[in-house]
Order: sequence, then C-alpha cells, then structure tokens
Amino acid sequence: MRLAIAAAVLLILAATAPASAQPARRPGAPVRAQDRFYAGVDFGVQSGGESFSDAFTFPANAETARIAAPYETKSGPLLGFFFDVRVWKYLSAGISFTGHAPESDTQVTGTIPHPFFFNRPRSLSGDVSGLERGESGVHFQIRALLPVSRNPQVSVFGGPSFFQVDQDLATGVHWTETYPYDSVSFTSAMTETRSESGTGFNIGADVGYFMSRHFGVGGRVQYASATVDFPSASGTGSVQSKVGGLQAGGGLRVRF
Amino acid sequence: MKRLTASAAAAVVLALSLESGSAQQPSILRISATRLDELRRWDGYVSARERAGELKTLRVDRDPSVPGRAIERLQQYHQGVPVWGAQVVRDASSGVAESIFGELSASLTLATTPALSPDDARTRLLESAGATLLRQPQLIVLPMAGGDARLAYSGVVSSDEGIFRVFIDANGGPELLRYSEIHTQSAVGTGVGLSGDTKKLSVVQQAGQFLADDRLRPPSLTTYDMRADFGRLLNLLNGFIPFAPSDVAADADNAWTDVSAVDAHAHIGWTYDYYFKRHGRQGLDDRNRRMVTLINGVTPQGAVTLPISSQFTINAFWCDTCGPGGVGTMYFGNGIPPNFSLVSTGQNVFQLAGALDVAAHELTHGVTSSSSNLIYLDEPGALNEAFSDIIGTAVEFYFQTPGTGRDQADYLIGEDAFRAFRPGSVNGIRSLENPRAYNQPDHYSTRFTGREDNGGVHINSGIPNNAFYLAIEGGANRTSGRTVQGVGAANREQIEKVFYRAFVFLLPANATFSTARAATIQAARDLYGATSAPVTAVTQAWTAVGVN
Repeated sequence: MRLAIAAAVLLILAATAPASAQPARRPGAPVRAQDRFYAGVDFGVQSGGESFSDAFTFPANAETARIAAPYETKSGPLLGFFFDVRVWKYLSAGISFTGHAPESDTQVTGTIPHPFFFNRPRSLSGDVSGLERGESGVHFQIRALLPVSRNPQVSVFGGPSFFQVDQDLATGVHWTETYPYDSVSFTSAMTETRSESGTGFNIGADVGYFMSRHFGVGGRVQYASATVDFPSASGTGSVQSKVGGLQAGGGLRVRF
Repeated sequence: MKRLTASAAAAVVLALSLESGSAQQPSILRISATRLDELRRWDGYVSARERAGELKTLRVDRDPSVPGRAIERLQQYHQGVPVWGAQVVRDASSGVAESIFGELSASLTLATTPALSPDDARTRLLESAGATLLRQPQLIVLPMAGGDARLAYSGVVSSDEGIFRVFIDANGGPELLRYSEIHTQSAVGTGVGLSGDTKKLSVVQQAGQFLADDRLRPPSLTTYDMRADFGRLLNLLNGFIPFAPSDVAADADNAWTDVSAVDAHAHIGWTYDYYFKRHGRQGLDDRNRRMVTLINGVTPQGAVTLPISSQFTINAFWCDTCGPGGVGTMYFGNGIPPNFSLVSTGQNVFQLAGALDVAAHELTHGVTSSSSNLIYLDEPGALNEAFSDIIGTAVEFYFQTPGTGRDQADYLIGEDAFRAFRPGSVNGIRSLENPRAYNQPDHYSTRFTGREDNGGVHINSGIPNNAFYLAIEGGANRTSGRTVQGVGAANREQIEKVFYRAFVFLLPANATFSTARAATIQAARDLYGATSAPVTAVTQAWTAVGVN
C-alpha cells in the first residue's frame, strides 16, 4: 500500500511538473517568494496497516466469557485542504485539515462458558464487518518554500497535529446455541463508537504547478501521526491506537 | 430523480392503503412485502419515510444462515419522538430488498411537547407503582387500542409485586398501560453439593427468585422441595393433590446451598445429558417425557425421630405412576444425622441425591419402564436393577475422573452417600467389580432363589453387574475363576452401548439372565461385528459369571 501511495505521489509530481510548461525564467535568477497566501484542496489516500486490539469479558453461565477483538486500520480515501500565510521570506505558517473514514473488519474470538459445567469453555469466532473509523486531523504547519523554482513551486512543511478519532469497537457478542450446548455459533457483535483525541506531528512536502498567476494544481504527501487511547470495551483500561499515517493526494492550488 | 420516484411510490402506497382500508382513516399501516411489485412499492415508501426522518435505523443485523443479507430494523418517529413498537424490518441483499415487514402508526397528528417534565414523570412513575425506577422515563408516542395514540412517558418500575413497564400520560393524565417485564428467563445458578463441590444449575428466574426448573434441556426437568412436609409428599406421590408453584425448589440469590436440591437437580440433568450424548436418547421415554424429582420429604433428624419408613429416608426411588396425573417421579431421601449409623451396615447415610450413580440409577428405572419394562421380580427384576446400576456407573465414568474418593468414578454404587462409619464398614451399597463384598452373588451358581426382595432383585443383580464390569475391565470372576478379555477402560463406551441396546431395545419384559446374555451378544454383533472385541468380551463375561 505504501508503494502504491508513493507511486501516486510520483505520478502527481510528474503530472504537475512538465518541463515544457516551465514559465520563462532567466537561468541563475533567484526565486523570490512573492505570494502571501497559498491554499489548496487535495483528494488522495491514507495508508493503513496499523493494528491494535481490545479484549473484554462479561459474566455468562456463572463464569466469565472472554472475547478478543483485533483491529487493523485500513487505507482509504483522504480529503484534505490547507491554508498558508507567508510570514517571512520563504517561510509560511498554515493550517491543514484532513479527513479519512475507512471501514474495517475484525474477527472476534473468545470463549463462552458452558451452561451446565464449569471449565468447559466453548470457542466462539466470528467476523464483524462494517466497523467505521473516522479520523479528522488538524495540522499546524510551518512551510518552507524551496527556492529552486517558482513553477513548479516546491515546499516542505512540518508541525504539530491534532486528531479526533471515532472508532467502532465490538463491545459484545451474540451467539446461538442448542442443546447439548457443546458449541456456540457467532451471530453478530454489538458495537459502540468510541471517540478520542490525540496530539502528534506532521511532516511533508507540497508541489504546486500553476497554469496562471493564481491557480494551479498540486500534490502533497505528508506523514502525520498521533496515538490515542480509547476506553476499552471491557469498561476498564484503554486501547491504544495509532492515528494517521502516510497521506498523499493531489488537487487544486491557489496563491495570491 | 430517485427522490421523486420514492416520493411518488410513497404517495401510491398511501393511496393504496387508504383504498384498501374502510371508510375510516387507517391507523395502522401493515407492511408485508415479499413479491417484487410489493417490494418496489414498500421499499420506496420506507426510503421516503427515512428521508423525512420518520424512520430511523435502529440496527443492522446479519444472519449467518443467509450470507450476504443485511437486515435493517427501522424505528418509526413522530416529530422526533419514537412510536412505541412501530418498526419496519427490511431484509436486503446488496441493497435490494428481499422482504419488508412492519407495522406503523399512520396519520399521527398529536403534538409532542409534553406537559410533564422528565422529573415529573419520574415522580409520577414512582407514585404509581412504588419502589424503584429501573429504567428512566422515555418520552414516546403510545399507540392505543382503538387507533388512538397518546404522548406518554415509559419507564420500568420494580415493586414488591414485580417488575413492570409502566406508561403514564405525558400531559398529566392517568396511567395508560402497564405490563410485567418479568419473562420467565433461563438462568444458570451455582450450588454446593454433598461433597462440597460447586455445580452449575439450570434454573429459571421468576418473580425475584430462582426456581429449580430446567428450561435449557429439552424436557421439563423440575425439582420439587417438600420442605419436610411428609404429608404433602405422600399426597403428591399418591396424586391426591397437584403441584403448587411454591413446591418448586427455590433460592433467593441463585447461589444454592440446599445439598439435596443442588445435587438432585444437577445429577438428573447430567444423566439426561449422558443418555443424549452417549446413546442419542431423549430422556425417559425417548420423547422427552417430563422429569419430576422430589426432595426433602424428611429431614435427617426426622429420619431418627419420626415414625417414617426408611423408604423415604435412606432410600431413593423411581415410581412410574406416582405424582399428580401419574406423571412419574423420582424421590431422594436425606439420609440420617451425621452422628448416626445404620445398625445393619455401620454406615452413615447422607443425602442420596448427592451420589451421581444413585440419581442415574433411579432415572434409569424410568427409562426401563418406558422401554423393555423388565418385570420387577426374579431374574427380570434383577436385570432391571442391574441395568440401573450399570448406567449409574457409566454416568459416573462419563462425568467424573476415575478414582476412589468422593465424586470420583468407580464400580461402587452409592459410595458418595453411604459412607463407612463404624469400624469395618465400607462405602457404598453394591459393587460391580466385587459383588460378593456386598453380599451379592457374582455367579449364577450362587444366585439367590428365595422370595425376599421380589425374588432377590437387589441381590442377584450382582451377576449381570459383574458381567458388565468384566466385559470392560477384564480379569477373572472370583467364583468361577474364568478370565475375560475385556475391551479396556478406554473402550468402555462399546460395552455401555451394547448393554443399552440390549436392555432398552432387545429384551422382553420377562427376560432371564440367559436372554440377557444372548441379547447383549447380539447387540455387540449389531454394533461392532461378529468377530469384534466387544462380542468376545461380552460372551466371555457372561460365561465367567455362569450364565449360558
């Protein structure tokens, strides 16, 4: 997946930087930072692959049922936009927003006590699909315009990130069983959405190619990451999950 | 375009509903759509009501038996307030509806601003029903009988009379509706048995207490507590009076401490399980005949102070025709006080239900009654007794680990209830391994031929008992010295199945030991082949005990 993202970024970079489209600039002339504002909107993807797991117990048949639920974040579409203000020479301060809402699956596994006998747990396993995860990121960024070319315009940036994450967690299971109850069949899981926020960082690069004085297209790749602690479905403790990841996208650019 | 189509469909549906109803405006909109044309109409209607905010998804389920389906349950709302019980269920495959069912309140016009605040409602609910509010009041629209609808608060209230869902008028009017929230609910309790072991009990929760009424197993399996009311016990056994709900053994916190109730209820359930799992049998009559157990007819102290037959104190029995309506009952005595011993054997006797093999023994008499119905006299009677001992032992080995301690599997009968007390006394009342140690014959040549004990049904049972033992474990009969090549403890299931098939299906009611020999050998052939180890073991075992 990371390879695909990198390939997408390269394509975007290639698309936004055709040699024939270079505006006239005298060789050796310095690139000057002329524009005060730089903004854009991007559509892209965010990498997945981060895994975390939760476990919970509940009383059943005079013993304790134990369920484990591993989760893995999935790659998925990303929507982002940013706005920068030049503060000094080639340096800008800005803010960007990203939104990422992939669906994910988990396979819950565990044991359900037997209704008639102690210490005869029955195994339970089942797929839970359609779990939703929503990541909203606010990224504060200091951007440095690289004085290499005015078009395409290349910059790097970094700064702190704040994430708000809504994650569906399995909080219970339903099963069917028939006499003599030596096995159970998973039917469904109860899920709840847990919301938490976390603070991390972001670092990345942006390339913009302008077809006119103010408008152009561009691409951006950034790595933004934070860690959040969701309340565990067990009711005690927490589940730690990494948020963010490699984000890449392309879209419209405007400068003025 | 889609929105227009859906709205148009909704309009058509409403028009159809109005047409199909009487002259009055319909108050209930019933949806039952499975045909394509119906589904098109109702799916459009439901979608339109969703967009209007009148239906909201409660949850989406997936039925693993029909993969690929998503079953969406939608709740009806009127001006943002849920309409009680008004739901639509749409089963869809890849977004295409396969069926839609529901009942909605149509043409609701009532205002949804309540005169009572939630706090007022809380107060009113408690005034109305007393005690505790278990679930906070929720504002709802309550469809009433007759087509009316009322704005109401609904809450769950617990009182001495039970647990009720109560609906009160949200505009300050009277209580509108209440119904019991107590569903007879299966529960799993725990209890401490005779040996101090903790067992699980399948019970029901009802009216704030737990009853020894097993609803998890296929038959009705109920344990009745006579609470030392011996007269009531006799009246019930004689069928003179019916069972009262209060006769069912009960416990307040589901942590049971009455040894007889715990062990009788658990052990009868286990025996049912043994028959089902080992032999595929469904209870007493293979048709899940009701299983009724009576306990606590007499206290241990009463056994030595009251003029009551030992039948009800140091005994357990099955009576096929006892009980109200001749339902058939098992009864387990409570034994005698710990500091007493039987004059005849020097044993102390504890609650008989505490011995798993005794419980299985009695239940097996019920199985025999419903199958071969071996006459309880002379050799058929001894076979009847032997089969109960055989299954009692088999159940022990099925659920307990082999050993000589309490709650361990062995070839003794009743060893967990009949305990050695005086010096020289022994545990248990019979032995399949060594019948002679309990004054039973282990060989046909030494059989009892008198008239006592129905012709020695509890005496001569030692002979087939020993044949069963030898067929499994092998070894020599103590009287004949003949040795048997048993199938081994690891293969005990084979001999159990052989004896079950013979005694339940093949034996006539007046079977002799010789018939039992032939039937068990035939059963072994049927099950495992003519040259199989079980055939050899069973044949040698009967020969060893002198039955040809």
